[in-house]
Amino acid sequence: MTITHSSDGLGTTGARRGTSSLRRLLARFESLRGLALLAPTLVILGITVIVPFLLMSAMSLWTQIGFDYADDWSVRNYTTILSEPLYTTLLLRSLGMAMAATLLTVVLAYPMAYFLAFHVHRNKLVWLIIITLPFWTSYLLRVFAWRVILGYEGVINSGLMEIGLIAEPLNVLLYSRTAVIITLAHAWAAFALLPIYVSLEKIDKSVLEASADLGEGPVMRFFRVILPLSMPGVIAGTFLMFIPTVGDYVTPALVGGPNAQMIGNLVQLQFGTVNNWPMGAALAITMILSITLVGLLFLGLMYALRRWAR
Amino acid sequence: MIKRHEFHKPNRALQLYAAFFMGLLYIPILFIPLFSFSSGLYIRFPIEGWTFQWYAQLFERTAVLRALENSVRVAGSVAVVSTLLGIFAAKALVRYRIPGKGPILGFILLPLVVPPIIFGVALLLMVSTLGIPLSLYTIAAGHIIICLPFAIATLLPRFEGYDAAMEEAAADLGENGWYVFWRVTVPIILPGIVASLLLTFTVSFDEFVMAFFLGGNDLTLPLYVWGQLRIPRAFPVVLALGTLILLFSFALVFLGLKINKRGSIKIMDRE
Amino acid sequence: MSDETMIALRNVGKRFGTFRAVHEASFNIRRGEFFSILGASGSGKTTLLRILAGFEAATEGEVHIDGAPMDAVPPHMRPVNMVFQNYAIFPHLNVRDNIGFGLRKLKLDKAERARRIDEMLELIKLPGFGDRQADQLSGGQRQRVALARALILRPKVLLLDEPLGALDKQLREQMQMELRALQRSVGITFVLVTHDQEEAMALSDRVAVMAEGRVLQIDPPAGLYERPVSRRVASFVGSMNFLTGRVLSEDGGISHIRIAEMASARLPTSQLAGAGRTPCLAIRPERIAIHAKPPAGQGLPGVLKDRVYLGERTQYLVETGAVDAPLVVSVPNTAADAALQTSGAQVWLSWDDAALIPMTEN
Repeated sequence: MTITHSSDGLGTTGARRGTSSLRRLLARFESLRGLALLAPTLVILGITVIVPFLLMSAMSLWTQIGFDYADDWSVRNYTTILSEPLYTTLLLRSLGMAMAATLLTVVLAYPMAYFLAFHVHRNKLVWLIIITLPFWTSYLLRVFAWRVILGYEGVINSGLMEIGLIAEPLNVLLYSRTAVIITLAHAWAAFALLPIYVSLEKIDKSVLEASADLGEGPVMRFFRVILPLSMPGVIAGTFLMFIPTVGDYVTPALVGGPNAQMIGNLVQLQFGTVNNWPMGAALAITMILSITLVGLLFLGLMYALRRWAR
Repeated sequence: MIKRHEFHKPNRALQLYAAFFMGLLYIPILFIPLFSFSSGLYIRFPIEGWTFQWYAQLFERTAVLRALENSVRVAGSVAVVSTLLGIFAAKALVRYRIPGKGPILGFILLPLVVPPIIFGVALLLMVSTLGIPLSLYTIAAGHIIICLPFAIATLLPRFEGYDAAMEEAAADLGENGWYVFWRVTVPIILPGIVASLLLTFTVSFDEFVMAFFLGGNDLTLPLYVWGQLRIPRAFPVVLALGTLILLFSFALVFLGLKINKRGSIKIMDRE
Repeated sequence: MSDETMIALRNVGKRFGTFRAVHEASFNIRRGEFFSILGASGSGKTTLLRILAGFEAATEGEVHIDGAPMDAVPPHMRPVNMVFQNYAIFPHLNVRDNIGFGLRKLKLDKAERARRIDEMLELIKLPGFGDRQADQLSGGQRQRVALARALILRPKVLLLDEPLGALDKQLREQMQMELRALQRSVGITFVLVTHDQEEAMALSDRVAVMAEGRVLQIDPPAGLYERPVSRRVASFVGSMNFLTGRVLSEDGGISHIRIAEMASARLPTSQLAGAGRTPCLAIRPERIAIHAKPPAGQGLPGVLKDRVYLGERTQYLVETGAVDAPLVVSVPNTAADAALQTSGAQVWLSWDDAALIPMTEN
């Protein structure tokens, strides 16, 4: 009798106290009661997400002239973005750096997720909490920590000089793309790790026994069973990390130099010193579109790989 | 119960790697507290001496205390609002047949992934179009977008985790919807509520990007820290402040995740 | 509607989208009766119970409880209480507070509340368990607490949703007896939903058999067993053999029926109403006699296919030309019959015509 059990709980009682027509209506249509409970959330998200987003799309079609906006609709901002090397370079660089950071994190996180899924038997929850803990806390401070480490007189330089390995501080550490990539990788590690862990944890242990029973050694077992089964987690982790990092601007602002600025910094500039909001809106939307595009390409690639692998 | 799987006997190499990974994760952060006790003005080795003076200075700065107060007010109200919304939304999503449930949940959880700068500038556009002045309220509005997914993801497993018959039983024993909610639903999901409050408070308390775009003249703590980062001489005090913020945040989040048991880990599984 | 009637259902139906979970249920449940609804999962029995409790709204028809229409009455206003399938013991409350949960509205003083709870603890034979937490209780104890929690409100009707399903066999049999005794002592109308026919038979004054949303038959246990109206009811309650007959003649209210060209029977024509000219005749395994030699009267010859020893009885499978499936014959083990021990042996079957039950409905 699963049909009846999965149905409703307190709703039936809660909404049907009286006999007013509204209550009868709500009692009759269960989904209405559910939507009534969801309504505050949906209204707030509508006002704070959907309306602003539509507004931003509209404004991206305006053009800034001095302190005013031109009163015609045009795609001028977008053609500028696509034709000016400054914008395209920054956009491609952001995608590239986010990809590099994502790749680095996924590669580093996979063995850790594997360890957690298969080798941690006690206090698993505490392990998971400790790994995710930094993720929840101040992003700004975690980025700042890398500035402390990579700075001209920072931990690495002064440490290396202290033990006499180098005489002069290395200039390449801070304000480089590498610095941004390392910092991003560190800051988002938990986001990439958890989906991988979850997909590994879900693997039925008897499947592993079966593959051993069928004569596969540990290495082939990994490549023929564990890795394919954990691919959904890897893909999810990749997306979870890639998407937000493309738009990051705190990290480039703090540890990236002029050559490591990202699209997020450009957006921020348009809303700050440059004060060209329509351009900022257009850049933000271009960012979303390019993330979507890369995401689709990635999914297509994964799909092709899977077909090829068969 | 501990069940050692035959295939997974302790693996020395993996254990070493795990230690390396945890080091990678935590050591960079630990430099903040380490140098906050260094008496030198510059962050570098060798550490000349140890001091508490940066912490003492911290409490002399009224700007810090004001920012702290602002942050607590914003984070407190954001935590309460997003948890309340989360309770209703999670209940609706778990207990009712709603058309388009999947897409609705996806939409609510979207801010977990989409770069916050997008929401930040979009909201800024609307707020300034409407002529609403930037203030702690606009920051809070931005934070609710970011905190709602966490609240709902924390509370959903709570509702999924107990039998709807509990609420039916209470109704059957004569309680109307309001009392069913207070006498049965709330006590049962209480760990989820507490966890949601703690987690959303921390997320809002530490949030920078939204606050950066939507903040007015009143600074929150992360905004204050950001301002100080341009002044190298202020670094030691920032380190002291950062240490306290990290300590506080870690404690709240640890408590929240611990109270909620496995629920929060599921958050990431929902994408 | 007479005073005898506690619950009246009139054409009650429930649809979930296009799926009809309950179809035109119309029957009465008497005051003080122990009434069971028996059916497989998916038969609509739980939906029917939830309609009585008010958790589901009937899409068609009417429900009256103690003469009052229940159409717009929400669960918390109904004079019924329920024992849930998994008991739904509140995990955050101890036994006392679980049992006393429904007393809040009565605004009793502390002493009276405590007295009533103690009384219930006494009734369910768990005195001294009041301070236990929900998770410290065994399955049987949870079931008792759920009973006490519902009975403390002195409902007009107690609804029980598979109350013994979660218990192991031994405990289940013990609880059946206790439940029956409890119902006798409190005198409340019990409506129980179960998929276990033995449970329904052992407990109930009357049983309604449901399948695919329809009520097939309502009768006391003996009537259900002795006079099932259709093959579906018959096969649901105990095991049954089915034979196909052909009415040869009718004479003075007695029909002469030929069974598979090998045997014949005489049955009152009145019993055959609705069964047609080629009635399906059912017979219980224990009503068939098995013989190693041809019996004195008529005997249906067959070959012994298998023999299963079941302790208090032995079950024989006999292949005859009369029906496709082998007939099941059940013989009490009062004395071992050595002659019948080899399979493949020639045997003869006989029965009293009165043991034949014509199936009058599909």
